[in-house]
Parts: sequence; C-alpha cells; structure tokens
Amino acid sequence: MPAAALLGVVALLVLIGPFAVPYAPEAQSIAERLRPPTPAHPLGTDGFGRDVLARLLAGGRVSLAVGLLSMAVAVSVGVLVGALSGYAGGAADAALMRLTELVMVFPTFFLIILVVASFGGSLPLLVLVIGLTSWPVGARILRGEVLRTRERDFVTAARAIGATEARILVRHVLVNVVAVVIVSATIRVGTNILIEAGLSYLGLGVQPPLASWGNMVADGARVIRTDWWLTLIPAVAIFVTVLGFNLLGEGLRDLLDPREERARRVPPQASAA
Amino acid sequence: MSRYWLGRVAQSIPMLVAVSLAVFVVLQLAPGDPSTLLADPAYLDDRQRAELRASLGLDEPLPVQYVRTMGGILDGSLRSFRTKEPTIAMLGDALPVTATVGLLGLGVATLAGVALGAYAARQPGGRIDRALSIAVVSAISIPTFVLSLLLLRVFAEGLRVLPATGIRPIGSSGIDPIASIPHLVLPVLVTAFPLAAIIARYSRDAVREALVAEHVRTAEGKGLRPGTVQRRHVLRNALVPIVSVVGTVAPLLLGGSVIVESIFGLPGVGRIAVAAALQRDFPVVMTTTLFAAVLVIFANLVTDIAYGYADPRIRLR
Repeated sequence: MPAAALLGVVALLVLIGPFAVPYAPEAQSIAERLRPPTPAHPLGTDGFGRDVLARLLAGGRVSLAVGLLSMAVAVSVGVLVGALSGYAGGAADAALMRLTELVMVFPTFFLIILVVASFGGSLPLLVLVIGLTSWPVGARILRGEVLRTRERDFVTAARAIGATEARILVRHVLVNVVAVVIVSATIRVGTNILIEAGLSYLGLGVQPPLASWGNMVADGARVIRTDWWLTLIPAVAIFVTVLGFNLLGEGLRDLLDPREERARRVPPQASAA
Repeated sequence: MSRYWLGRVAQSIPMLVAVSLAVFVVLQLAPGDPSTLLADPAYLDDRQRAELRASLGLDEPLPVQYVRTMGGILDGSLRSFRTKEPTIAMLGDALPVTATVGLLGLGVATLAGVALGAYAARQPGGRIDRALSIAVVSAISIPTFVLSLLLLRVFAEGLRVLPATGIRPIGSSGIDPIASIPHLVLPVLVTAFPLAAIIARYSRDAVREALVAEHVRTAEGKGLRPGTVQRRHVLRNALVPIVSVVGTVAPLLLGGSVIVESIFGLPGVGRIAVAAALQRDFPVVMTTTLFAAVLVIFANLVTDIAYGYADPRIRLR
C-alpha cells in the first residue's frame, strides 16, 4: 500500500534523521538567521538561526508521538467503554452511553483550551487531554459492532459449551470487531496530529523552544511575506503525514472489511490512491 | 409532537448541569487560585491575601461558589479578570461574528458538498467519483491554519484582492454584514472547506444508495423526466443521511472558529476563548466553554427536528 510506504518513510526519517543532522533543534545562531537553503543547512534556517531540517525532524518526533500516544489513550478508553456497553447492555449500557454523550457534547477544542489554560501545555497532559476527548466516536461504532456480533450463532454456541462471559467477550466478540478498531484508530492518529498542530499553532500546545510542526508553522507565519518556505515546509510535513494515516485507514477498511465495500459500492481504486 | 419536543428539551438540562459541573471541577483542580493571577501573593501579607480571596468569593464553600458562578454567568455578575466586563456581555458581542461566519460556512459547505456528492454518485468508480474521493481525503488532511495562511498569502498579500483581517463593525460592537462581505470571503471559505469534503462523501453514498432503489427504477420506468426523478425520488430519500451528516459536522464549526477567528482577526467567540486561555482569564474560559456545550446540545436538537421534516416516519416516534 502506497500510504503505508509513505508513513514508513516519514517514520524512518523522524526516527533516524536527527542523528544525521549535525545541529541541535534548539541551537540558535543569530548570525545565521533566515538563511535560504544551502549545503550546510539543506532547508535553511529560521528567525532564530536554528536549522530548519533539525527542527522538522525533531518536531516530527513530537507530533507523531502525541498523535500515536493520544490515539492509544483514545482506543483504550473507547474499546473499554464500547465493548462493555455493547456486551453488558441494560443499566451499564445506559450509564456508559450517557457518559459518552457528555464527552461528545464538549466541543473538543474548547475543552482542551480549558484544560491547557488551567494546567499549562506539557506533553503528557496534551496526550491525555487529546486522548480523553477523542474516544466517544470510536466507542459508539464499536458498541454497535459488539451489539451485532453478540447475537451471532457462534457466540450462542460458545455460551452453550459453557465458556465464561469474559472469555466470550475477548475470544469471540472482540476478535470479530478488531477490524473496526484498527481502521478507526488509524484515522484517529491523523486527526489527533491535526488537533495537536492546531493547538501548538495557537500557542496552547507544545511550548517553544521544543519544536512541533504546529509551532514551526506559527513561527514561520511571522515572516510569511518574505521567507514563505518556513511556513510551507512544516505545513507540507503535517499534510503528508495526516494524509498518510487517512489513506492507510481507508486502505485497511477495504482490506479488512470487504462486506462494507460491497454494501457501499465503493470502487477499489477510490482508496488506493 | 410538542410533548415530544418538550421531553427532548428537558433531557438536555441534566446534560447542561453535568457539563457545567465538569467545567467547574477542572477549574477547581487548576493549580494556584485566581487571586494569585491578580496580584503576586509574595507582595501581600496574610490579611491582604485573605481580603482579596474574600472579594472574589473564594473563601466560600464550593457548592455556594458553583451556584453563584453559574448564576453570575446569567445575570452578568461574573466578570472577566482582565477587562472587568461581564462575561455574558463579551459573549453577546462576539456571537454575531461567529454565527455569521459559521452559518455562512455551513451553508456554503452543504450546497457544495451535496452538489459534488450527487454529481459524483451518478457514475460510481468514474473519473469524477475517483477525483472526488481523492479530493475529500486531501481536504480533510489539510490543517485549517495552513489553508488560512495559504489563502491569506495568495489573495490578501500576493494578489491584494481581498482584505486580510477584521470586519466592518457597527458602533462599538457587532458586525455590519454588508460592508463586511469582502472580509468574510476567506474566513467563510476556510470554514466551509473541510465540512464540504465530509458532506460530499456522505452525500455521495446516500445518493448512490437512493439511485439504485427499486422505486427510482419504477419512477424512471413510468417515464418521469430525469430532473423530477432526481428531485422527488432520489434527493428526497437521500435527505436523512445528509441531514445526519450536516448535524454531525455543525459542532465542528465551533472548534474551527477558534483557529479561523484567530488568524483572520475576527472578534468572535473562538478568539475570545483563546485569548482568555492564554491569559488564564478563567471566568471567560468557563463562559465560552459552557456556551460551546450549549450550542452543541442545541445543534443536536435542531438536527432531530430536521430529521422529522426529512422523514415523516421519524416524526411519529
């Protein structure tokens, strides 16, 4: 899949790249500020004379880490709530669904602004708050899938031969809905990278001098009239990475769930781009 | 019918209480108390510190503080730490700006999205359909602030055909919609862009599903004109999923307003919220967050009502 290859390249660059660049991402050199690309600085330098390539790679680590970790938080909570809610039913289902609605009613951005304003913008907090506000959609989808799977014959068969409820839930129900979880988790990474970038752009996310793609765009935007590439470079990095996760998610959906493909008559080429 | 809607409205009240409690708790958990933001405690003696806290009502029990704060939002006695203005008045001044941009954006997005989706649905797998599907994924991968900066650089600074920021106000506050049109073009486009993409995708699927339905074949078979079939039989049936997706994306408007208003210098709710957050102006943050939640609950209610119009079967329930 081209999307997987694209993300592989991004991941490799971000993991290994920083070792190949001879500058620290925070090292300033006022004498060399706002240099266009040269052999010494392949992507030029920013307003503080920091190497743009070094910051781009370091910022990528931060953006990807926040995106992936907050996805992990969101998926953990979402699977827990969605699976319990769909499988248990009754009062537990009703209570969990009210909780889900409550989180959904908060416009994510405003809730994050509230929390960041109260506690400051540290990385672990950013991961937690993005993760803890982004699980309801996934939980609802999963609940629907679990509800449907719970009634299938092989679940009844498992119950008939005396399997425990926990075993049925994990071994028979969850394994059958894992495709839905993987697809929504993949797309969630891209969405969360966008949220982090937006917050960092506004000055509410990753705090300088630590680089993230979002605050690099904000730095670049101050000199966009003359040194427009300082905005363009991190912007392209965000776009390519998020696009990669969105395409990968769609590709996985077609791959893992052929039923849906037929039902919705989505042509296979449509998502292979 | 009216009984049903009364019930729906009543259901949202516990939700509002829960949201306001959550906001209140987050602010209580925040390190330091608001009095330390007004004056550095190091320069005050114990008595002055206690007086300051008492003047802000911070010495009272939490339930009393909660009720007073919520009442204070409504009667205007809750004021910004910075400007001393009632928070509800700040919200009132900002709302027309956010509402204008948001509703215009949603309108443009719905028209463009449904038109594109319906057009692509005519030939699934065709060139237009594939182009739309690529465009949709790309559109939702572009951060709002990048799109804003790009359009600003090209249309306001490069070509100089549109103003970069601001609006034309009437008097000290408010918005003059006619004189502001050039100022609103870019913010509305940026707001509409990602929503149009999402609406287009769902409209395409909805129209596609309606197109292959039996009754559409019957309508074609009995010789109705293609335009009539499209309007009365296809779009009418595709309306429920379209209403549903428009209702789902409407709350996203508010999140988008935060970035759009900051970049285009529009004095709306989103910009107030960001400015207040950066200055730790808690009464304003609290008011805007609560307002945002109220708006989402309201949007859900409107969506439910719209379902009834789109599909009479839903009305009966």
